[in-house]
Amino acid sequence: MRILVLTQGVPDLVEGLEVASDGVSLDQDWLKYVLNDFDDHALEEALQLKADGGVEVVAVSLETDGSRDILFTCLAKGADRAVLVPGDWFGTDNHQKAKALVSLVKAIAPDLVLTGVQAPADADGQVGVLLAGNLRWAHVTTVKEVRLAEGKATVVKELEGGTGARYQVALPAVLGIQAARVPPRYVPVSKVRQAMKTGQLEEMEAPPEGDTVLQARKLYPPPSGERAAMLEGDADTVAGELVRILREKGIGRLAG
Amino acid sequence: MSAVKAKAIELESAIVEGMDIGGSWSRMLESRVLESYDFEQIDRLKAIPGAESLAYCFQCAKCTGVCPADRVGDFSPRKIFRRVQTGTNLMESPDLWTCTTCINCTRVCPKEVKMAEIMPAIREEAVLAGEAPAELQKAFADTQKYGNPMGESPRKRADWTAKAGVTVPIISKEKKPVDLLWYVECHYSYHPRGKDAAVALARVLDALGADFAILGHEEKCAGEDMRLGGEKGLFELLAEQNVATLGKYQFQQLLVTDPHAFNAFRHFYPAYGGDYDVVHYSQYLAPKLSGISFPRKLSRRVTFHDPCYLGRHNGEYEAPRQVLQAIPGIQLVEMERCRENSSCCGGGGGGMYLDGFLANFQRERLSEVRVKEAVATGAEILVVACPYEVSRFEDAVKSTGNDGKLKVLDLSEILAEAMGLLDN
Repeated sequence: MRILVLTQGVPDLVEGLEVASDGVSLDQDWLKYVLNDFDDHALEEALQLKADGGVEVVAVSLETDGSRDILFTCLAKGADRAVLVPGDWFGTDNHQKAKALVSLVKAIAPDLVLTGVQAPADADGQVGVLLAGNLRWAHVTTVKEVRLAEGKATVVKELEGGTGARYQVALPAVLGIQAARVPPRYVPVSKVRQAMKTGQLEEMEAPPEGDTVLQARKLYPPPSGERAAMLEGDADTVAGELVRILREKGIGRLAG
Repeated sequence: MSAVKAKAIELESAIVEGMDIGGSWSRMLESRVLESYDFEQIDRLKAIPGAESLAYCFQCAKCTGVCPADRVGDFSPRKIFRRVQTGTNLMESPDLWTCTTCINCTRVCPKEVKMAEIMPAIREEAVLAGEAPAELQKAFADTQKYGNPMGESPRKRADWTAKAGVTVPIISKEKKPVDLLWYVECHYSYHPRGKDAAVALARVLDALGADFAILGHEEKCAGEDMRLGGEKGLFELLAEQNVATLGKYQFQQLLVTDPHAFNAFRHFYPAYGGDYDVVHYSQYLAPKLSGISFPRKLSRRVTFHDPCYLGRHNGEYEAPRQVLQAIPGIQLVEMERCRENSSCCGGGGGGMYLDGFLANFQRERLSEVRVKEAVATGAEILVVACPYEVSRFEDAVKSTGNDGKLKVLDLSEILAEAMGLLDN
């Protein structure tokens, strides 16, 4: 059983993001790329399946600043192979990515593709859906647990209102991972360094295809509202004021 | 986490070095059951380079009397040895994360059991096996990504200087050698109360006419807690990066605010090519204060908390006291446990990032124990010289119901106050 984990580097939100002078993209001068958190969950779920037995994990990453570090980290965590997809992916949309990846996925020939359900770069969440459509494979999104048995996957999909649904999925399939069944593991630096010394990154070409479908017209930070109020004073005063406000707004049931 | 106890091996009789020690040969003695243990656990640990001295313990229990963790829980080096001897797997036990490496035990140990060497060595194996508590792993991950354990933006490391009110030069922009390169460190750079102390120290340095600069966003965590928490690879990475950064600039002395970083620079950075004339800010300030006139008298009763990594680890007890005694009006009173026997605040050795984890095993925080001692002296102000302590002790003042009774100030803050530098 081979699992392909599709990852990408996304702008690190710890740095204040700034809009570039074109008004539709991020200023790249201070951008630092980190592994998309949802993709980290996809990798962890794949590694959990590997621990269950009989699974080979192939991590794939679209080239960004830091994507080599991301792939070596995947190897240090336990991926068996790491594949870099070179190219300038900044500004490409998910339709282009999903088209480009078809030949690559066919070449690697996995039984299952896991990818993060979305990325904060666009919150579009469609790479997995579109890739599955292009491949004509089954797809389930917002998945929070995957189990494999007898050539089929049983997945738990998160639904609204705290509910979930269990599906049986024929393979091959593409799954959008909302959360791994355990939090993504921390990998010690010495293991990453070891992977950098001894690990091999493969490179496979898959240039972006087609024109962008989505055009950004304006990029701007969320406008700040005017309804926030800071409560000041000692603990008793602040607590009293808080109770008064909650009561006034009818939030919760307060005694007395 | 559960500890698996080894079964005692019971023997009818045993001959040790030619002597029957079973007692059955004597009509005066009842035959007794002899116990022996499976030494697998202790053998495994003492084979880890750095952890050998754990096996030197001969159970005298002098450490138990001075171990701060034993005051709030059930932990001391003697107890750890005994548990491991009787089969506890330390790798799976919370005991592995309880020690703050304050080394009050090593001070009194007749067998030189060195917890500050044992703990990082054994923890390293646990970290590699993915066994470290999640909150400590988060601090490791953030330090790896951002160069600080709080996960703050590296770009904003020097933002505190905007409030300094004096020029705080960034060395990359100075393009000239300086006398003092000030290694500000993470808590001074990012924690709100740490920033207050950084501002105070900047004003004091400025008022003293010091020729100083900081690294700004080029500075990264010195990594001492990562080393002691068992993330040796991360410590090495940070040491290499920091040595390369410091190597770009010319300076006479490295002025360090954090005693943990001070310890790392003094004792561990030379192995990575970083050999500096390192000075803690209390040591820099103490000899500078004799000539200056203080505009105000601070008629306050104060007590001083010796940081473990300034005091016991590096033998400096006088410099911070000299600074305090130079301030007109200050009445310095000592806590029951001070100087060599100072009681740990709980922040060292990775403890800063284990408060939630350790709360499951300890009756109260070490910082709460310490604050109660400070209150007992009748002091109005608890002065500290380590950036972890202002926030730890301020929280403890509130959680022990002493809000309003005890103020916590960094040494630089009380000095700046007396020098009239905090008025704006």
